[in-house]
Amino acid sequence: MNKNILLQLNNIHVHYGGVKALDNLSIKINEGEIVALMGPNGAGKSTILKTIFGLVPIESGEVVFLGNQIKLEPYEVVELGISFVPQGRRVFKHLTVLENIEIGGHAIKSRAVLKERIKEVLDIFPMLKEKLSQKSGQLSGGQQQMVALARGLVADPKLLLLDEPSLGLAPKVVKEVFQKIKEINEKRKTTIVVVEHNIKSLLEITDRAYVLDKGKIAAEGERKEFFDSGILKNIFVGKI
Amino acid sequence: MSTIKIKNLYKHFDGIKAVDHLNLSFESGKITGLIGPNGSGKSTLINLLTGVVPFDSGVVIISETTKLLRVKPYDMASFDITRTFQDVRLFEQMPVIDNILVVLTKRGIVGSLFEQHKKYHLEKAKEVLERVGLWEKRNELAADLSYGQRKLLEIARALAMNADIYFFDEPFAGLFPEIIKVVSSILKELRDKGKTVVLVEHNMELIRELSDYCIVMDSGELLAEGKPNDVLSQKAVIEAYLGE
Repeated sequence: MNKNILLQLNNIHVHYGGVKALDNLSIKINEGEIVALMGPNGAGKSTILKTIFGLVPIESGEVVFLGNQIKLEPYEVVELGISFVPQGRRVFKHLTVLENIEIGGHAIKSRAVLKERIKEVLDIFPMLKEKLSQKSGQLSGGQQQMVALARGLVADPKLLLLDEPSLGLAPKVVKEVFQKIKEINEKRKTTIVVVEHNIKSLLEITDRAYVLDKGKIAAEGERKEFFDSGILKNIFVGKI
Repeated sequence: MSTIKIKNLYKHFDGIKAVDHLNLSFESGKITGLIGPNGSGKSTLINLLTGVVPFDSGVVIISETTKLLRVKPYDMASFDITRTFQDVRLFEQMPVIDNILVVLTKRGIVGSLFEQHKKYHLEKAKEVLERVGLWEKRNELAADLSYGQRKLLEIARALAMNADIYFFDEPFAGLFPEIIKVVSSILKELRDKGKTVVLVEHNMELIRELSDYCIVMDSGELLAEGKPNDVLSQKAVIEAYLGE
């Protein structure tokens, strides 16, 4: 079955100093998919997300979104309907929980729509409801992670980029977050690209996955192919 | 080797009891797993014990003899205590190796102006960086490392301190399976050397594998403590923390 391609990265090169972070990398993401990016620390997974969001300069290559080459500037990427939940939370610590979430919805012009969206994301993370007026810096690391996720979701993006969404979350909350990610994908048809080290939980919800090594694609395939092949074993024993 | 105890430790933030009159003991030669729901006070407890955040009342007792009513962060090294942070804290604009050398060399005002790294310092830095697989990255800026590599550098820096008491705040978060094995073996080595190791972690497989003793916090209070398997099968812990 042919699927519509939402996003393509074509022959991307990114360097950090003298280090090749992405080395002639090409990937494609279809509409409505959840795609996992896996690989060792330093393989380039987070760099892919940052590239799409315009947070790292590319040396060469192009990013195509809905058939058009896009300008890699964060404010323009947001306008296109792409949200990014970065690794390490990055909440605005001196702003309240509500203010942080509202920032995620700054492109929404209607106050009523924004209010409705905030209500929806708070239903996903009910723990935040009673902390809306609290400064985000006073929250625990795990709670800040929830704020970051809520901030990414509030814009109801076409493409959601998640960098380690389970980082710092308690087991009970991790299960809930992965369920919610799947739910968001199914109900809202949001396309999701996710970097995550919790591979077991990740592969339960993904359609396809790319495995990266040293800035290149080492393997790619449907979820089932990963379970049936030796790729996962190779990842776990560090051969990839 | 040092042990660390707390008596009646209390801290509140704007009406929220973050640590609520807690009494605990962390023993040497053991890894103590410190677990609990998000916001239960685990990281706050470590922040109180390492002076990053001042506590309101209570006592911290180190090696049975030193009673502290106030803990200052810059005193921790002299008590042979070190830690890592959940949100990694490095000297971003310094090379990897300098992030290690900075804790190996003693610095006074004059000394810092004429600092010289002796063979011993460089060898020790090499040892800990090789232990975490970052020796090849020694000349790169800390800011240019990936998240996982940054966590490893912070762990290497803690190892270079050669302390007696180690607090690790989610050291495995964001690490790849193969690197998790390396960090696990580091923690086991510290335990085998008789060090006191306190591990905050949400990965229950690792808690079961590594912890000799387990403490569960909830809303700043002690919810349960004991052997990991016993604690993790308690109904209250499953309901509050693990989920079905």
